[in-house]
Parts: sequence; C-alpha cells; structure tokens
Amino acid sequence: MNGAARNNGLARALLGAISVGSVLAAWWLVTSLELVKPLILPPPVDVWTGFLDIWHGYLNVPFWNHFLASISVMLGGYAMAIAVGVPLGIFMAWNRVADWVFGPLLQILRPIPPPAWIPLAILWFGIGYAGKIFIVFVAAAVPCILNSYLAIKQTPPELLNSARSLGAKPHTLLFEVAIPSGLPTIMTGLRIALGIAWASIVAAELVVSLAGFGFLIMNGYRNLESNIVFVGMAAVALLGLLMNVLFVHIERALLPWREDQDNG
Amino acid sequence: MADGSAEARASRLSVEAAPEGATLGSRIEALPNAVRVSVMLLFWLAVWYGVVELFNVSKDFLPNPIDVLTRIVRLAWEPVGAGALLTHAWASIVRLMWGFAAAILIGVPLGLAMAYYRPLQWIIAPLFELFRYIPPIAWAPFAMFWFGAGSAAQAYVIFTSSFAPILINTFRGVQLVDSRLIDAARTLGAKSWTILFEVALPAALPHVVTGLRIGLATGWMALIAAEIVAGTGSRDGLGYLILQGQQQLHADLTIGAMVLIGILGSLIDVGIRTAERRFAYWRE
Repeated sequence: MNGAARNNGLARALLGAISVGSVLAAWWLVTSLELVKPLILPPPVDVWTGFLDIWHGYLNVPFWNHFLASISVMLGGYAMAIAVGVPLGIFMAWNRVADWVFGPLLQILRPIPPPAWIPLAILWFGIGYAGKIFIVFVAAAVPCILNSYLAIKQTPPELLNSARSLGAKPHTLLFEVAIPSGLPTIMTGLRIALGIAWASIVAAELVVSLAGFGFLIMNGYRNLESNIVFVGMAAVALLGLLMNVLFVHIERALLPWREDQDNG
Repeated sequence: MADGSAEARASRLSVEAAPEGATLGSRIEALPNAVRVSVMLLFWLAVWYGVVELFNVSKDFLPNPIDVLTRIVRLAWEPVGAGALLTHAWASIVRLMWGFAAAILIGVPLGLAMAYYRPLQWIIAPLFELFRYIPPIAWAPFAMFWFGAGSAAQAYVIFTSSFAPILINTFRGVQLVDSRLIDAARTLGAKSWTILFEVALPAALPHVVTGLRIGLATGWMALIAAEIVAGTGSRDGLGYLILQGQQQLHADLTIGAMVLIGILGSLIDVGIRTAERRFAYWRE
C-alpha cells in the first residue's frame, strides 16, 4: 500500500514535470522556428530581455516604483475595506435596525461588478491614487462585510445560550463569544477580499495609470511589445501567489486552533 | 441581509426577549421583507437626492436619481455609439455567451476526464496552477494581440474567467461521487462509458451546475472589465456606455449604465439559480 502510494506520488511528479516541461519546450520550439510572430507569442529570450528592461527601469521608471505604486494603493484600499467592512458586517448581524437600514443598500450595490466602478472613480477622483484606492475599497469591502455578517449570524446558539446562562452581558456575548467563534469565517472573507483587491488594482491600472504593473501591461500593449505584457502578467501572478501564501501563514499564526484550511 | 426571513428568525441574536406589548421594532419586524426593503431603498434614494440638491453638487459629478432614471429611459431610443440600449445590452450578452459557451465546452469535459483518468489530472493540474493567479482582465492585451481589439478578445477574457470555476467544480463533483454507486454499477456489469454517463455525471450534476453559476457570475464581471479595458475596437456593450459617460463627462450615463448592469446581472443570477434548482432538485 505504502509502495503503491509512493509510486503514485512519483508518477504524479514525473507527469507534472513532463507536462510543464513540454509546454515550455513547445514555447521555445514554436518561437525559435518562427512559426508564430513575436507579437502573438514572445520568444523566451525576448521575455528575458523584457524582464531585464523592466528591472533596470523600463521607460526610465525604476522597477520598484511600479511595485510600490501597485502594492501601496492596493494595501491602502484593502485596509480601508477591512476597517469599514468588518465592523459594518458585525454590526449588521448584531443589530437588526442596522440590518434593515444597510442590508437593502448592500443588496442593490452588490450586483454591480467592481470594474464597473472604474470610470466613475476616474470621474470623481481623477486619474491619481485616490480613485484607485476607491476602486479597491469598493471591490474588497463586499466580501469583508458579507463574511463578517455570516460569521456572527452563524454563531452556534448553544455557545450563546451557555454564555447567557452564566450571566454574560450583551457586549461580552459579542466580543467574547460571537466574534471569536466567527473569526475563521471573517478571515476567509479577508482572504477572498485580498484576491479581489489585487485583481481590481490591476484592472484600474489597465484603464488609466502612470505607474504600476497594470501600467506596464497596458504600455507593452500600446507599444506592441508583447514581451513587456508577458513579464507584467507574470509579475502580477507571482505577487498574487506570494500574497496568498503570506496571508495563509498569517492566518495560521493568528488562528492556530483552526485545523482545516479550506481553499474557498 | 434581508433575504431568508426564516434564517434571520432562527439565528437572530437579540439578547432581550421581545416584550409582550408590540414595540416599534417588533412591528417593523412583522412587516413583510419586501415592504421593509422597498421602504429602505426609497429612503436611500431620498438621501442621494437630498445630498445632491442640498450641496448643489454638479450634474457632471453626481446627478440626482431622477436625472439618472431619465437618462436610462432616454437611452432606450437615443443612440450612443453603435446604437440604443438594446443594441448595447445585446452586444454584451452575446459576448458573455460566446465566452461562457467556450468555457463550458472545454471545462466540463476536461473536468470529467481529469476526475475519471488520474494521469490526466497529474498532467493538467500543474499547468492550471501556473495560470491560476493571472487575473482574467490581465489577459486583455494578449487577447487583443491574438484576436484584434473587438468582441472576440472580450469573449476570450470572459472565457479565462469562467473556465476555472467550471473546471474545478466539475472535477470535484465527479470526484465526490459516492464510490459505492460506481461499484454497484460495476457489479451489475456496466461498462465504463455507461458508468461515466449514467452514474457519475448525473450524480455530479449539482456540482457542475454550481460551477456554471459561479462561472457565469465571474464571466459577467470579466465582461464589464473587458468592455472597459479592451473595448476600443467595438463601439457597443454596457461597459462601453459606462466608459463613454466618463469620457464625455456625462455622469448620468455612467451611473445609468452601472444601474442597468446591476439589474441585468441580478436577473442572470436569478435565472441560473432557478435552473440550478430545477436541475438539481434531488440535492439534499
């Protein structure tokens, strides 16, 4: 049984390596035989020079400026979304009047996809950082609110009842029973919001920007430099992956008692 | 939120027991959901109107709700870009359907095959992981290099966004099929094709439909993004209306189009949820 499992693992690693390897080989072969134009698929060498170009300052803008532009705006909007969304969601779940007042508003705003806010944000805040922070905020606030709301609503009644029978006051019930028990759900909301925030900042930068990874991608498109587009996409994907890994580590450190790490 | 009054009643955490005499709060609570929601929506519209009128906000910045409503009504016959409202809505829906259909045609069979034949899973999964973290909208420039700046590029962006949830849910659905069902079918002498199409697929159907619902929702989001980012070639679509409003400083057009997108998105969601209930009626 153990040997079979090991063989399975070996076969899996081997097939995985073969599949990724053959895709890379096909990429190299197709481009070096010039079967497709570099615009359609940039050759690996071009991608490498594109990377060096960006690293050493594409269009005289240092790499770290793009990095900082994207990351700082995203973190700003994300932090605002958490600061507003989590307390609002908890408040709505705890207080029925708040639910009546804000619930319908949220229901009506929720179906509007975050990218649809981009032109309005430009109209309201101009093409600078404020508009992009607004877009990230609008996009990331929704999962923060929804998950915090659900987290409190789904508090097991037996926990609340036993605390109540021990004489707990309402604010003790909220802060020492409902919120701790709902923390995993809230954290899941924050993780979903992180992914949405990252996709939103890239989308906003694609529409209008002066720096950032979305700017790199769009500039590569305008100058017909597909290798720059390629590097920009890879950077966005890599950073998205890194942020997700980092978040999971933070989540584990904060919630060590949580065993299951669902990939929702 | 205000949906599912039964759920709300079951888990409401109000600490004090409702007093015998009907207080204002319990009277409001007794109202039907729809009444409460509509009253509150009217209240928010009034707040919007009041803020605009009270602070004399410029119409180019934030028009009042009545302006937006008039703009939506005018849009029904007054052309912007390629045509009037129906032209734009139709263009958006056609794009969504192309991208979504492609995602179903590739995602469902591939998910089935990956769950059914393990080596295929080992081959596809690493590639899938490689592309997973690219936001769909970041594909827009390459899509325009490949297909030109038009509907096909936008449909491709929708495809990249719908594909992942459809593939993953189909795969999980087939994987989660009770192995006793498959063993039973095998004992009765069923061939593997019969097992696939008459046991595994029907049992996985609820998951597949859930994947389709999520895929359609993410596809709708990607569509709007694609029309805003990659819409230079085609002069139609609801996202194009939003962008036009911004570029011509007509905030009423931008907000009106956002409202229409929200309504259409909700209608699509309601439609597919109804379909989900019909297809997956046996789901516990």
